[in-house]
Amino acid sequence: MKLLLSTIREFEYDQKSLINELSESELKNKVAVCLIHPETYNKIASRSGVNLKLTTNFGSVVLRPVWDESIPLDMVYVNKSIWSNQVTGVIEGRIQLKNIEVDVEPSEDSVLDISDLLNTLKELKG
Amino acid sequence: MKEFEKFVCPGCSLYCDDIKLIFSDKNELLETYGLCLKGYKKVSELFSQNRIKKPLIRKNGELQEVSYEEAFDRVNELLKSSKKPFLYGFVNTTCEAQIKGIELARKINGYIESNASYCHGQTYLNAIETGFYFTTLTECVNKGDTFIFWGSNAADSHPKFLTKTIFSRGKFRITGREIKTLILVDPRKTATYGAAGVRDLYIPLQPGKDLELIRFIKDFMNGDKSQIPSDGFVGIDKEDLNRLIMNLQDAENGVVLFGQGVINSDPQGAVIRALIELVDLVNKQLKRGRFSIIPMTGHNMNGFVQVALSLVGKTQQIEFSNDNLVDNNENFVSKVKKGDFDLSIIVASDPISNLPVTLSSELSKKPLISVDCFHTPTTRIADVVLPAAISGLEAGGLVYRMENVPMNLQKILEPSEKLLSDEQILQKIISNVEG
Repeated sequence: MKLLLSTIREFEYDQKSLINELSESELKNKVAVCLIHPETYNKIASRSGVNLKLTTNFGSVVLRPVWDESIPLDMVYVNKSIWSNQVTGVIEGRIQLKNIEVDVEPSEDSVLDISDLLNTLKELKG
Repeated sequence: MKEFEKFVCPGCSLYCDDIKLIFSDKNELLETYGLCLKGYKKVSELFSQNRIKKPLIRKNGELQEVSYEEAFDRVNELLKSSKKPFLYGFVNTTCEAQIKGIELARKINGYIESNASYCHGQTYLNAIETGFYFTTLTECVNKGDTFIFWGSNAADSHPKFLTKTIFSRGKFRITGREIKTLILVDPRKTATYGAAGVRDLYIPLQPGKDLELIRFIKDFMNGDKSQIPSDGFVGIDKEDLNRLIMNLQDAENGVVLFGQGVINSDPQGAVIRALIELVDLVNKQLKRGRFSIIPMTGHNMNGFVQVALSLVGKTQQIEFSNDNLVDNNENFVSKVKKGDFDLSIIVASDPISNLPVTLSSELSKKPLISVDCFHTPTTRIADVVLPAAISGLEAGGLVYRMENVPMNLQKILEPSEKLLSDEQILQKIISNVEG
């Protein structure tokens, strides 16, 4: 389903603060989420508890959905984190963080661990 | 027991100075008064298991604990072999460290920019060209009657802001909340909406339509448009839009507070400029009172702007060659994307968690020196990690509040493991570079 993705920085899901108090798996469970209106979610997945794969022109990421009725119906919100960075990008020297076209689909894949994401970066080291 | 009255909380850019902390003689936190949850978590970081207690150097692919001396030697080696270093971050720290950062950039012919460059830095770049009506929190408390939160979720980003301004009683607003109007412009009913009452207004703006709305209001106020369409405009009901315009025209002392929603909805900065122009227009038409703007900045972002303006006369794209400032059209983002650097020094920031992967990949490819208090994704891919004392708790210094009022952070506890402050670390690097 085509939606718009916006990143936010909400304290409840804030990686910067939570990283100092949670274990790596707890952090993933809390932060690697996308906020979506339940009506929108029900149009995408046939049952609750299914992870969502978000794909933009910049990349893709699998996240755990969190229902939030304050989210507009045509949107998905993702808190800024190492996970959200997989689907944001740069156009003409400017970072794109809001209103990014995104394809959202159900996924059987698990949410990646922070270590997996970092290992990809470490492999780039010379 | 140790009591700290009028402690300045380093939790956000509000820098609340009405806090009281009580520690035991063993430095256990016993009581806190006046902290919001964000502030409480900030103070609790003193006891976090995630603290970096020893310097780290990457050896054979793994980070290993070393002494400060060995880590500083490694930093010096890396700097000697670097021809295009850049420094980045500097928001979650003091102005003293920011000054040292610019001094170091000058010494090593480097490029320096703060996180502000892709955040409220755009606001100040626009303000340099246009100027804008500014105000202070005290002015908001004493005179404010209309508060427009545009793309800003103040209840979440600056939790005590509403308590301090909307719910307070001021010298000329002694009836307090009852006569203060809160207007929320956001596609989403955020936590700030929870503070709204019957006299307040929620404007459910369609995503990315900020510029269209601002232009419509300007045209309407200029008389170029005489009517609001009966079916509303960009998702906003006709009556609500009418009330928004009436509030702009009738306020005695209004303030537009804008945040990430405005900055990030148009990375080119056109919305910010349009908002500044709208406030300008409102002030020209107001028969009494005035409207102002406060950018809802993060931490000491304004500090870097103040420091950079005073030292080099510009707020970003600061590059040195042979001790002189050089013209530069590249910003931090474009430089990193092109890989136009060979070493990065990241101070009090976690770009690997904050930047798109296309940029964090480039950062990861080159040697990275991180100065931080905590283990973060950035420290985990760094080549050298220099642990620092926490600014505002274990190290004091100057910071600038969201409306550019200088505040003094206090050092209330000695840092564990004799950790150095950001300022001391940068000074040590400078001294080593000077030989």
